[in-house]
Amino acid sequence: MTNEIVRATAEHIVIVVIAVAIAAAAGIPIGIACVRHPRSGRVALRAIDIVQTIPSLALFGFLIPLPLIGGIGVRTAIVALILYSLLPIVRNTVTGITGVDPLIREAATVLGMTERQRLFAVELPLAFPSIIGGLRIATVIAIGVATIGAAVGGGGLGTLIFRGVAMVDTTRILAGALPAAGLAIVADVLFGSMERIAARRFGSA
Amino acid sequence: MASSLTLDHVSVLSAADQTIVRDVSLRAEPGEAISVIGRSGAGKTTVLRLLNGLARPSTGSVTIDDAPLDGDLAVRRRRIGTILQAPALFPHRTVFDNVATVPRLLEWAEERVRAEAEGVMAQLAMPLELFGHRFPRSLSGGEQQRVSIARAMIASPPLLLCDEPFSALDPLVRRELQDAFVALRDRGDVTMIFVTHDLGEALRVGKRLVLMDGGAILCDLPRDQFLASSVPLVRRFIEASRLPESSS
Repeated sequence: MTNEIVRATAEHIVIVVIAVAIAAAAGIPIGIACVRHPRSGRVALRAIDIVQTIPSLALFGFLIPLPLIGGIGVRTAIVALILYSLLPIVRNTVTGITGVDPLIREAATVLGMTERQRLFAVELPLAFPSIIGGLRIATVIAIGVATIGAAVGGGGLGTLIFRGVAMVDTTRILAGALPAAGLAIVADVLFGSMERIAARRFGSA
Repeated sequence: MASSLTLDHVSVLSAADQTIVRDVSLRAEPGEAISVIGRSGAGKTTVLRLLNGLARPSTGSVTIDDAPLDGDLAVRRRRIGTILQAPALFPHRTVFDNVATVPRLLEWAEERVRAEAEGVMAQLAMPLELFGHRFPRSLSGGEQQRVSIARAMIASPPLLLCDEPFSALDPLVRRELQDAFVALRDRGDVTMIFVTHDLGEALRVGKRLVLMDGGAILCDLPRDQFLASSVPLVRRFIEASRLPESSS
């Protein structure tokens, strides 16, 4: 049983880390693009917003029939997690950048920075705490949704929970539920302190 | 070589089609120190923004060193020092890194950046070895504004644009900074446009005074002639700047 818990937890972490890493690699540039092109940015944000509102089990249902990305298995679970993680990451990137004090942005411009230099030297560093906040929300959501991913063969701690439910075995259910809850809390605390450190280092005022 | 600049019959309309600047013509010869004075909303700041390309003329033209202000504005702005009303320092960068912004954009060698930063900070009574590693949030308002002056002037820009840089400071710090600023300015060969609503400050830093009202230039005179001008708004500014008579 202990082995099983350790393996399921490790699996869970790997799925979440892969999904959030991919979501961040896509979401931060998407967020930057949304700021640079506000009109299409609003459309993109709306679309990502809609994906977020789809119930997780239903989203898995939509993904399974799709060729290449779909089917039963861990791949489908990861795709769903990426889609869920995208919104908080994109949104926090956008709020982080647009939240930069306009005067500081103006200072960067009048000193002679190009738009690109301003983005990398000023806007992104100052948006960093907000972006970390997005990663925090994304990770916590992904840990939760990943438990449901077990329903489509995604593995992880959800496997224990579903099996426990099927066998009416409370111990087994808790063997999945407790580590899943623990992971979410640890991730929240970890990113929360990173966010605070970043805010102190990069914060305004 | 200090810059020359020309605004030729420039008007600026806002998005709501309101006139912000009305048919303004202004010529500054190399090395001139001009104070632009006027009430809030007179269009002073917009005149500055026309000169660093943050505002575009709706009609008329803006030229600096006889070249129209267009093309790669970022590159041209590195040769224009702008000091804003608020220090607007980069909070995530140390004082030294803030001051080094323009030199690094100009790709100076790091030893030269440090040497120039030391020089300019010493002039502003903020020795680099004491302040260089500190972050802006640990500085007082006056110290922050000094750093922003250093940041704007380190690369000795031939044109200096100042937008009420001292208005947020207490009168004593303000006076101290005005003097330090004038000394620093006179070290180099520079043309200056200094916007303020304070007549005393305008007289202290400028040799020529331009009075704006309602988006237009009301008068444009050398310092002493300005004080003798009979333009009603000039008289009102002089009246308002006078200290009360002692009653004893």
